[in-house]
Amino acid sequence: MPEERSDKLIREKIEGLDTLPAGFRLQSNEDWLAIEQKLRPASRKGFGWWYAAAAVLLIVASTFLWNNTTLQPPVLQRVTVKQSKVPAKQVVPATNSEKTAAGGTSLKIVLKNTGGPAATNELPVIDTPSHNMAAIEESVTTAPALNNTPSIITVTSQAPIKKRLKIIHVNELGNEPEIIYTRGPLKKNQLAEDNNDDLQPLQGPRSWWQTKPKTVTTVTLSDNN
Amino acid sequence: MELSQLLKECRKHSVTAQKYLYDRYAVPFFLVCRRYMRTDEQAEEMMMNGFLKIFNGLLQFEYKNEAAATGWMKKIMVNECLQELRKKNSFLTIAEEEAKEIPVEEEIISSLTAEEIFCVITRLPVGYRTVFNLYVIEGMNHREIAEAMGITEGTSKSQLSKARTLLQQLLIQTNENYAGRKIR
Repeated sequence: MPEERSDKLIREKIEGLDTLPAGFRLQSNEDWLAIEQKLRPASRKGFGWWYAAAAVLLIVASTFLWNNTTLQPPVLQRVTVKQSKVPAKQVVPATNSEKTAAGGTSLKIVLKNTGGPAATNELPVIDTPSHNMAAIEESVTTAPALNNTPSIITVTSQAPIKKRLKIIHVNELGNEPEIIYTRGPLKKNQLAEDNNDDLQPLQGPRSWWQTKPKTVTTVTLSDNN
Repeated sequence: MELSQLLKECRKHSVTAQKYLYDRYAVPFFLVCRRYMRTDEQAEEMMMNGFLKIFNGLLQFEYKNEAAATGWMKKIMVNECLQELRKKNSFLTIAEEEAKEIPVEEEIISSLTAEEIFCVITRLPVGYRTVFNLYVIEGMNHREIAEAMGITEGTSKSQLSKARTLLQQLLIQTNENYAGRKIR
């Protein structure tokens, strides 16, 4: 049949067409990118490993930060007080304290006997933290008095080393110092509120606690009312 | 690279192999889709959907030979276009009328290039174009065409007759333009 021959001819020509005819447009690269994006979730393997690695990293970082930020408790020193002579039974709070060269305080504890005259005895000093003074007093043990003479226990405490922060003047911060205006000397028969015209800048910067002087506006009433 | 090796690599989700397969068949499959769709953009979209189905369906595909593999991929493209056309209800308004069939002359077809015949086919209305493509190019019978398009066999036959008549007129017109350019 003629139709079959013409159909065959058309089919052969159409199937043999490999190039894009004129007037037709194909954005091959863009289309491939769109296909690749849709294929990526299916083709990606081991995607969960990224999440596991990120979680491990987060845990390690948080542990490291936590260790650096926790404060270490102060080291307490155990205090033992030794005395060469037998002190009295009663412990009297120190009336005077001396500051040591290291910045601590030297506390003199006078032990008085109930009946006898007081006497001082120098005892070897043992360093203790200042907050443990109450424990020191409690731990002082007294032996029976031999000659009823009180003894002085000198306890030196070593205060914690204080860090002195560097005092920085506001001018050192780098900002331009503000000019502070002040009033000039008052003229005769002039109220302080009227003296707004003689504002003069201060010589030098203004500190942070100094506020700007307030300008006062005055209303003068005439005598003709 | 042979198609069997290429498809094997694509089955392993090799991006390089997939890109190679795409570059190899992008233009032919675009032309297949363009014969069915109305615009270039629609044809591109159908081509992309078809390639996605090919890549995802390689696990179930059993390779026999290159012709069978190419036919399988081409059928995916055609089905994608038909689904889209049925979704848009493009075939509901096709009227079942008998038309006098005018056979296309072989001399005219022989005198024209493949590009010109392709352009003429794309100018046909959607119903004529689809039936003509499925019957003449894809080699389907009217029963299969009716099932694929959701129409009756009678409608398929009438659409084919009208398609041939219109195609003849357009080819003659194209041939006259071609002949006119040749004489000059």
